[in-house]
Amino acid sequence: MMKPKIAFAPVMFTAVMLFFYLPLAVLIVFSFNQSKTMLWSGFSLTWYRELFFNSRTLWGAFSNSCIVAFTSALLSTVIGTLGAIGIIWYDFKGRKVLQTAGLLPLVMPEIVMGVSLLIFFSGIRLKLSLFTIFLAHTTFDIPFVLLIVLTRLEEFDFSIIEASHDLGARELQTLTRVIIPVAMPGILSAFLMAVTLSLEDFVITFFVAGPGASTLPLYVYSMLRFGVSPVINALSVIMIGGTAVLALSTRRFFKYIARQ
Amino acid sequence: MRGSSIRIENIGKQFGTCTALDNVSFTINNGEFFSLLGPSGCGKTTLLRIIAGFESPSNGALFIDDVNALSIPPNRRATNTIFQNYALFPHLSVYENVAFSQRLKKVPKSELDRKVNEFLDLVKLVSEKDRFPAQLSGGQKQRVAIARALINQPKILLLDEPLSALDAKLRQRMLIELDAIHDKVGITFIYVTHDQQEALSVSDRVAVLDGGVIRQIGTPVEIYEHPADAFVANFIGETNYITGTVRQVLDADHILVEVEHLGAISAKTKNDVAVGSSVSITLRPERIDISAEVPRQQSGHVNVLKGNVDEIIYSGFQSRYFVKCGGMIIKAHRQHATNNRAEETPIRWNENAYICWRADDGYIVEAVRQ
Amino acid sequence: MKRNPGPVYAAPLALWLTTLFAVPLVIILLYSFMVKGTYGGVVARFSLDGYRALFNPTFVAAALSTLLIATVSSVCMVLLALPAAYHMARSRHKNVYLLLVIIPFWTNFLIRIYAWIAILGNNGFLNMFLVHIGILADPVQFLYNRNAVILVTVYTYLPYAILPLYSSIEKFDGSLLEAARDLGAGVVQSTFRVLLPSIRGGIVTAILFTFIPVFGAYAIPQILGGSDSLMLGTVIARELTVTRNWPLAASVSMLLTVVTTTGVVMLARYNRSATPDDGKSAKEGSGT
Repeated sequence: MMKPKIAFAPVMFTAVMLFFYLPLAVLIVFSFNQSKTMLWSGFSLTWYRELFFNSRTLWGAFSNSCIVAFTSALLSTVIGTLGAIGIIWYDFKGRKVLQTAGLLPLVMPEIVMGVSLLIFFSGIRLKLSLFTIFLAHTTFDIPFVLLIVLTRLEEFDFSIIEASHDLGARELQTLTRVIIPVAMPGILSAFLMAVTLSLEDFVITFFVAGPGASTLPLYVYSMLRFGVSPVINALSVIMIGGTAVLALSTRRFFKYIARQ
Repeated sequence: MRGSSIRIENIGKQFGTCTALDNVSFTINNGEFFSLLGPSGCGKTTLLRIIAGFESPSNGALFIDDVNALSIPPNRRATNTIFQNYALFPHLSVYENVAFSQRLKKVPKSELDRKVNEFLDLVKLVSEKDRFPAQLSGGQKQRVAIARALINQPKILLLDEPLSALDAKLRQRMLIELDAIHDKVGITFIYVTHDQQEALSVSDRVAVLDGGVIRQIGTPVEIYEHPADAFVANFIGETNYITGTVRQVLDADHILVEVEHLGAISAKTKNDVAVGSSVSITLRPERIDISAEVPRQQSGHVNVLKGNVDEIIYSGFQSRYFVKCGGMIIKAHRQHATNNRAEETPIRWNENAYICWRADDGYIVEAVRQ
Repeated sequence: MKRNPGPVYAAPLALWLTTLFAVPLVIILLYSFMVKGTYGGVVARFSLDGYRALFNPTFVAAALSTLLIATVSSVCMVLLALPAAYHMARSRHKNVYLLLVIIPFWTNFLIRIYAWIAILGNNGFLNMFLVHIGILADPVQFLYNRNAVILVTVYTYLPYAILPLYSSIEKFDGSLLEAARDLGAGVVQSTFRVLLPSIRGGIVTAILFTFIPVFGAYAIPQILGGSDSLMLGTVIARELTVTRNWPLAASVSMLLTVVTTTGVVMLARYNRSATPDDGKSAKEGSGT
């Protein structure tokens, strides 16, 4: 180990850690502040009460987020998984193009995707709504699903598919009895990734959402425009806590996925 | 016999510019244990996969029991395959692996249970039925694959180098078990291997392939004793492959052949060969007698050569001698148990030795008329 | 296989991508070559106005400011990430540290932005505190300028720099540094001549992984930016919804896409030259 680096590197690392966590700490602390300003005046849970009992729109946005996340993740997982199976094991015209196109949205700037979908929906006269959000989310989820499932399938032993046919199974039976069960860990992690991305998304959702179709990030954004409010602090704390709880409780689940 | 017959007519297969199979044709009879033998890349696995239905040939026809099989997809052909890496379903237990095909056919529960146990019993794996493939040894996985295939009662069982992943002793045991299963079940087995020992020990007939072409088809004895060409002679067992020119016709069955760097030797012919034409003889090392003293006179056409012992490789039950005669090295094998003549002078390295063999023990493989 | 099921499997993917990805992008491409409609939208006539507008001073200023912000942010992030990642990779607690870096990542993007509004805003913690203890008479506007954008961008995207550098440094053989010291090199020398060249791949990845997303950023400049920190992303949004100059919005989108794609291609090419290509084979025929 380099001697001076011992002084410099850990210092920088600590600085970075402080940089990451201090703003979040401020957020958390002031969510318990009695007054509405960023001056500490005493401990209180008023803002949490406000959050839970006075914010019907918030809970509406939250349930929208969940609905869209779940449905778009489901559809994108189905489309992406089937597509990955076709791409990795079979040759057909345009296969490489499809693979590239499938992964392209990963590198496209979100604003371009959002704007292009907005213009597209207006062009086909589809009113912006929760449904358009669903369509958009499915679209940007697909490349992640494709990537994850393709990686998984690379380690998949193709000869068991031949064995399945050899033993009399038709293609659909092979898919349901062999391919999907064996690839399930990859499929599940792709699904979870899609749910996470969908819940998180702001930019694309912003452009394709209709009036009244709010998701949690959009709701947060609308509150941000009004400046500082401890209710947002409280919401932030809940969201951070919720993520942490979710992450830790699914840790065992992820171990199962990783082991397969 | 309960197996199916297979007729292969002019089957060829190209992968891009590479020709894996070059218009092969032959027939396999019902119930035969038939081996496809050859070095890697010779096309034997490709041929097997075409019979199974996983590949389609570029040209040619395939008939199973005189019915055109090429239009039948693999899940409906009466063949079942044992894969080289077993291809067991990792998410299913041994029981469920074997039951897989029966569940597809919606066989009722009690009958399914009976059948699965019957075949698990055949391969002696009843006690492992709830375990998963990851927990099994190579030999056990092999047996699950066999049970899984046979429960379908296929007319043809295709085996793709099934023993290559096992160690030598286990391989021996499994080979004997496979042979026993074949005898018991009676269907046609098509066995792909690069190991000629395996092929010779259990097959009814063997097809030797090289470079996508069939070199010879015959019983193990035929292949060994009467190889059709230089490739087969050298691929099967060990041999001394001697090429020379016919110098003289000795009698109705024997000729004198002049071999460069070796001298004149007598050989037995089956057809007429003209003086001056080129012949190749395959001479198995175990047919050659070797001694430190001059061998006593024998009647008939016998070749005796004197040479210098270049190398001795001792293997316990036999020794292999490499004797330099003239400019050529002749291999001679000698088993110690039967030939142990204690009073005889021992054969030593770098000393003189005499090799002798009967002309009738050599086999003329190619005779090219000039 | 007699029938090739590949196309059947791939059909839903192909269909969806065509309708909801390819077609919208093509529409944008087409719109960039059309004429602005009076009340927004386009008139279907060919024109290069959309691209000519890219040379307007205001737009050029926005493009330059985007370039500046992306470059400065990227450089800052790599400079911060290098020592941090070095420490992480060489530590016994590397897994814990990794988790610590990733956790803020999991919190919602907007909340991380809001955290800085809560600190730097006119009613934020910093202002309130400084006024309260008398250093300031009135709140100072710390936000809504370029520095704020850079700060929050670095805050948000820093993990994108740390992770590839961590990965690179982890694979680096530390004994090389000892060998350099043994041969007489000083700390600075061994860092620059041994460590940095060896983790070159990680550095390039970190630079591109940060530059490319920041270049196309929208939310941060929109929320925290000012007149000196217009970025291409905000320009697109403004042209789309405010000025309703759709051809211009489209042409800027095309520009953004081209820059981003170029960056990605550069990264892919760089990676491919560094590691051998392992070909994947599609199952419709293989040897023996």
